[in-house]
Amino acid sequence: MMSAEMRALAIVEEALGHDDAGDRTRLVLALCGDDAGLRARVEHLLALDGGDAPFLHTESFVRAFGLDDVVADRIGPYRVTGEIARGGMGTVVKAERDDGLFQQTVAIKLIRGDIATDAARERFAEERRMLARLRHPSIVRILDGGEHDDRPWLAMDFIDGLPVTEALARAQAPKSQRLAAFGAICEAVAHAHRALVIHADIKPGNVLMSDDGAVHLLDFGIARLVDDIGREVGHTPSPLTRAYAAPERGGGAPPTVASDVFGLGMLMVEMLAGRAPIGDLACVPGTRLPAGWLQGDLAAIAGRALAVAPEARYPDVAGLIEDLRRLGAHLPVRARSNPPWRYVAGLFVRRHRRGLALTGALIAMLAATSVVSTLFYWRADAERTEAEARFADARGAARYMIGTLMPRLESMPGALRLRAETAAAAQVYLERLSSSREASDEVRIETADGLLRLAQVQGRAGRPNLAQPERAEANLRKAEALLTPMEGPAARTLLAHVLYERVGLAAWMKGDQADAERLAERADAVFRSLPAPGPALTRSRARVLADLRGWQGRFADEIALADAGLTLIGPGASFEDGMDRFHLLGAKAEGVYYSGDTRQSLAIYRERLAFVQALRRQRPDDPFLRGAATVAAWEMAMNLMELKRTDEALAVLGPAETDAVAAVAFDPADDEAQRRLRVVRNARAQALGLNGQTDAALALLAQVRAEDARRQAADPTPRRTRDLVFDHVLVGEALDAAGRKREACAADGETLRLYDALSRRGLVMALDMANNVKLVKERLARNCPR
Amino acid sequence: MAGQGDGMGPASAADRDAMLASVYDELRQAAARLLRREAPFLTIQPTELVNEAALRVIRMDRMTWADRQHFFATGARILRQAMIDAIRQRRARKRQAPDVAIAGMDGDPGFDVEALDAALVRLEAVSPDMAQLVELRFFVGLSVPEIAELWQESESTVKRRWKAARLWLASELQPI
Repeated sequence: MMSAEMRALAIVEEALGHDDAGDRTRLVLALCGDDAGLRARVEHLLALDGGDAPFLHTESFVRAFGLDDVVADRIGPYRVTGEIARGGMGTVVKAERDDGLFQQTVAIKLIRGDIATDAARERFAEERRMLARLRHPSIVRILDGGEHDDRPWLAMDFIDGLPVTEALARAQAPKSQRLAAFGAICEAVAHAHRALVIHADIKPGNVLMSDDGAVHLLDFGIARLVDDIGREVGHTPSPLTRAYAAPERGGGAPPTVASDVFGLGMLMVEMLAGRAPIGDLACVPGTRLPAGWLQGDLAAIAGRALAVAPEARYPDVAGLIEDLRRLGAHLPVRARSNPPWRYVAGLFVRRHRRGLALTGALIAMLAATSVVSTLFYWRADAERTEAEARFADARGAARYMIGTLMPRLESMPGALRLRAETAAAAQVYLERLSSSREASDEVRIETADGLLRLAQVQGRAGRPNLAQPERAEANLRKAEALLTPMEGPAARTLLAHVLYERVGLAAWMKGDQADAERLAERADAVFRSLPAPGPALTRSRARVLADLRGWQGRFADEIALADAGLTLIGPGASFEDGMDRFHLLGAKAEGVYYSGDTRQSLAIYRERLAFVQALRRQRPDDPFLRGAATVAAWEMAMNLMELKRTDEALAVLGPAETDAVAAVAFDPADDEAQRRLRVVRNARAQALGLNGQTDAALALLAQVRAEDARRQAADPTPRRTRDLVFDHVLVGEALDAAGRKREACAADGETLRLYDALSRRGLVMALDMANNVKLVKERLARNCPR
Repeated sequence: MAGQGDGMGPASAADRDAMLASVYDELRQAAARLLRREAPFLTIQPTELVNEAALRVIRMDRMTWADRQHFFATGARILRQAMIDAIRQRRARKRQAPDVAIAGMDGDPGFDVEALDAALVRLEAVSPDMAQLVELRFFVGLSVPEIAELWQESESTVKRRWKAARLWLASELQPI
């Protein structure tokens, strides 16, 4: 039995099928019959039609939630003064800090927080702090952040500028300025990549140029932040700026270093060609470079950045920057060749893109439809999987940075600072790995290996290093702590490597021979406990201990160890073997030289110099080999001087000094390069003095000493202090050789005083005592009035 | 549930039921999560949400029309509940979020959430079809043609019923 209300509704429904009022009335009358109540109800309902009662115009509530974004007057310590932009991600407002502490204009981004879980918010806060540490003159800083009415917000520098392409067009900027601005942008992106932050949305709108011509990258890592907020909602392709998005992103691939390289390529085209690469354009095959827009090397560089296949692009922004530098220096750009490392790095980027991007999907703006794929990601074990993924990323990222990126940076001009930054980033990952409770033995061994390599980069003498012996030491200790509880041969072998590295560090970088000796005993104990120590370890041991014995003045032992090491290197050995051979030849020659057989040692030094020059012909661009050749030349020259063959010595030292100057110019931050230059100049001054050119010698010595004093004052490491004292030894020597007794007496008196001071601080080595101090004392006896 | 697909074995039917159960569960969570926050930009698309969930079920075994109807009806109920809850919460916290007010679309005056929910419950008793139609329309955002296809009825019929339902709700919620 139908209720009255049911019948009323059925009649209303039917009546609504008639638009004509008369038809409707007739129908209602016919269907209601004489039920007045029913008729009244039906007529009441129909009378509402066309009125403005609630719901009559409501189609759906789904959009009803899209309420206006009302922004508060105050956000944190900031007073909102205006609106800059609004978009799907939220709103950007201009605001002033006026809490009496600072006067500061900022831009505040209010991020939609409607879909974030508490965990996602926590990550947001964590990542914000990480981004806040991203400091680069061309990256707009994140200054502050928090939550306002449950919405996460970020305050950043307010930049008064125009999108870079627009600013360049208005200024009618010449090509050089355009290139310089682009280079600055690349530097900023590279900086962020080293901190493992991907931009993911590089385009002119995100690069502002202020009136002073400075570029400012916006929204660094914001994409990442938003992704973290939206992680619960799953991965969605971000609403990419289509023209700028790398081809693989269209297929939903997460942003990577390679996609940022592509974005930079697009930006480069627009900045240099002066028009946007938008629309259906004929492109250079295999790339998204519009044909004919750029020429020559510019086209080669942009084309490589814009390669359709990610692995055909520059493996990272550093590669792009290198080519820009080469272009500026009129060197052949690498984009025209096919560097062998490219493929390796490309492979890594593919395999570990999560690690590099720090996240699987960076979403610039979370589209409303993003909830679509949520369902796939909500699983009971989501948290665990995520933790595992992050863990694997840290491992992959550290491995990439230490194993692939750092060695490659060694051969890049001026990359030392970059290497230091990369090392710092790697350090963070290694810390995370080493403190992780999830780590298996395998991971711990890998982490220890990473720490060892990092320590070598930070402070291994004789290689390009960052002159950070304390950090190196700390990392070696950490590696040791990780390895000590482990039993297997791999762990024990690595432990021995770590301990021998500590020996070298103590002896050479820190000048602590007693500590070096203790460490050597511990290292040997581990070494002897190994059932079958491998040749690499045996050679490392021979190299390190030979050096140590040399420092201790135990030259017979040094020679024996060097010979033992040399026999382990077969003919036709690898490049790395070649490096060890070079080192061991040096130790052997040193042992022979200090044992007193200067003719035999000269022969070994000559062999060594010829050997390293041959290696250099194989790898002409290798900056390490250039340094090694300088050292070899210096040692041979010293031996020649000993034999009074000063002309030959000067002939060897000339090219060595040229190389040393070039090395310092190549990377002014390279501590070893600076040290080599002072050593070679001192040697040449000695040779000049022995040759009777006393004034030229003294002038050169004064130059070196001034430079060393500056370096020592800047950072008074034991080694720099010793270097400075040694400079004084040479002054006395030159004056003594010229027969200027009174001056020589005064100079040497000062030198001895300095050695005494060094000795009190425990910084005088056996070698110093046996040679330099002895020499100085002999000269004092000869030149000073009794 | 009626009308299972051709050639579908018992195992896959059980699978399908389990899948449906899990999809509903997820849908509920999704809606709750989406609506938990009082964000000014709450522009969700439940249509997509439900369709996506449906797709998963359909992929597993071709969903019959009856299944589809059932699925959407359940999904709509879930979303209605979640949204009404969210609106209630917003109301409760209005002091903290003065910008949140449930405005009707296109100049409609606002309405009372509790009243709407109550009216829908009453409508269900009078006309379950209309109540479901309102749910699909209001809370899932399905269009009239989509509902017509789902119900395998003519668009004009659906349109008429939709209008009748709105008139009825309007009269229920008319300001006194």
